[in-house]
Amino acid sequence: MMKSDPMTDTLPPQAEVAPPPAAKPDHPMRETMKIFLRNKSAAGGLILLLAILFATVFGPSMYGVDPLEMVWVPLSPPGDGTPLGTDYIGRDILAGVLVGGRVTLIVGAVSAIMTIVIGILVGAFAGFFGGRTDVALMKFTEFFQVLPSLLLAMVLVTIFAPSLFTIILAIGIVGWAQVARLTRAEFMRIGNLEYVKAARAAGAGNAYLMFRVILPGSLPPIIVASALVTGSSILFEAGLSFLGLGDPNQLTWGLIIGQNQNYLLDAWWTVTCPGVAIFLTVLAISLIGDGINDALNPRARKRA
Amino acid sequence: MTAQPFLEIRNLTVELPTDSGPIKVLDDISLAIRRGTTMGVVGESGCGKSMTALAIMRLLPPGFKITSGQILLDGEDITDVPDARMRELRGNEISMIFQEPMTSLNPVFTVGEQIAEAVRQHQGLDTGKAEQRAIEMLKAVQIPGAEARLNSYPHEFSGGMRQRVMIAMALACQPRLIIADEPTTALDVTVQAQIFALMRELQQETGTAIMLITHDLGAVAEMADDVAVFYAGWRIESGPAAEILRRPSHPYTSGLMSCTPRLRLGASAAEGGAALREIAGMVPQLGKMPVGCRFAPRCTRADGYCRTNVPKDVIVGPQHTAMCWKAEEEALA
Repeated sequence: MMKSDPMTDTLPPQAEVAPPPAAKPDHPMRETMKIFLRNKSAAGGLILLLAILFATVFGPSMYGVDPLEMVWVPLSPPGDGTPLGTDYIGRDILAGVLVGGRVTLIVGAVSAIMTIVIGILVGAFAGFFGGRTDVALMKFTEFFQVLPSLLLAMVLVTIFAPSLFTIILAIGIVGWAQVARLTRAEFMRIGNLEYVKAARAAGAGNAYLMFRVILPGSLPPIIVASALVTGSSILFEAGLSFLGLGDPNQLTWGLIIGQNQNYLLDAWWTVTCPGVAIFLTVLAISLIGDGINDALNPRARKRA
Repeated sequence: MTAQPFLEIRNLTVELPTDSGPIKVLDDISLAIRRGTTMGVVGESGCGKSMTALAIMRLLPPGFKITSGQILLDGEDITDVPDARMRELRGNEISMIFQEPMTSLNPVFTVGEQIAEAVRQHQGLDTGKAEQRAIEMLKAVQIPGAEARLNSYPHEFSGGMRQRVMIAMALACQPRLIIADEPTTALDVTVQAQIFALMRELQQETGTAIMLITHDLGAVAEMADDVAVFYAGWRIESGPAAEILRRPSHPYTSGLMSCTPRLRLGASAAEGGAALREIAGMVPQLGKMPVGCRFAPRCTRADGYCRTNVPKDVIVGPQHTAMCWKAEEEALA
């Protein structure tokens, strides 16, 4: 991740005995942060995501309307009694969007973590051990990659009654293959580098090599993929809820859209508001992911 | 001089199974390194020097197998100890310095973390003490401003300094044998001299044995007490460095020596400065070895007998052996 400048490698010997430079370069993490924040769209994405998080965490209690209660005339437009209108049975859309965001974000985040953990584990073992382990694990991964993921998730959720847990599980199970392949590629690349051999020669065991020596170096692309996976997990959750496969006891953005789909032409606000919420969230996460990618990419770093 | 060797390799053979039968990458290698001394291992690329090092570390690439022989580390045969014991030995008893200082350090951790980690893992020191030890080691390898440099990342160091860090890491756990696989090949000549001086100094302090793998006879002359010359998987000559460099017995060794440039001011062909010679031909490909002496096709002295009969390792001087029919004739004469 930090290719050294060839110039510094051929310093004349007298430069070696010179005292270290007074201005110590920043810690790479801080440097990455700086580049990230200097990137306008990435910073915008971060602000947007923080705003969405704030709204879903504190919004419901600040707004104070029960999202499951009939509060007004059904299908009344925005501004006519309620800020964002009401749905087909007179529930407040704004309250629904605020509360629904919680579940959507939790499902998105938890299933993304699951996806990444499974992906890293499978990829790490395949890339590190190679040979038969690699072949077996990659066949297994391909199996999950070729299955139509929405269909598989639907089947899983239908078999095990739809609940938050099964939905998270379903999304995690269908999404990890891509992360696994990425991790495997990185492990194969880094596993052949000299410093891994050096660590092995210094007595490091397999587990240590995998997770303390190789994994840190392979994190950049995995972090970027994680951001994208989080975005797609949220879309997935919305998709399942829309199809009525969500947890019926949990209000989510997808569920609001799904329940109001019959009134789509008569009351646009019922689907547009939660739709825009999903759109903005995924957009914010994608922008952040792009920003991280640029910040971790040495070529982008030179440009900055 | 005649103390029991710390590392003794006896008749080591390493094979690589291929479709057309196993290939002997190392064929019946024997050598011994005494405590506190340096063994120079010389030879062209691909003649088995690094393979020997990897065999000692038990880090041979996949497929390569030790098929016979023993590697005795302080009397313990490490060719068949369990992996767990081997991991204990690596870093603690034997450590290795690699050829490429540019890529031998992990780019994502500071050098301090890397040295401290090695010490923590092997000697069970706590974080504070391990850091203290890391500073000591950086000072020992003469890195200026050791305390401040502890938090530097490898890319902030030059090649020579990185190799010093590598040496610091290798020495951190006070191993009794260091295998240095061409430690200065990637470095400037001036830095090379510094690194060698440093290694010698540290050797005197710690009494560690060094196996110095190189193709640079100058380095051997400077560093080594003993020399082993490798050719095509054979150890063709071995003995005290002074003896071998003065009176090489094997034509390959003398060939290697005449390939080494000697700098003389104003020397030209007219004034008697000889043009640099080369050994004609190439190291035979593994698996396509000549029947007799493996060096015969390139040897100026080889005759029909050499080409059909495998030479034996014969004593040609005090502790000096060579695998050559001609050397044997001379020794007997």
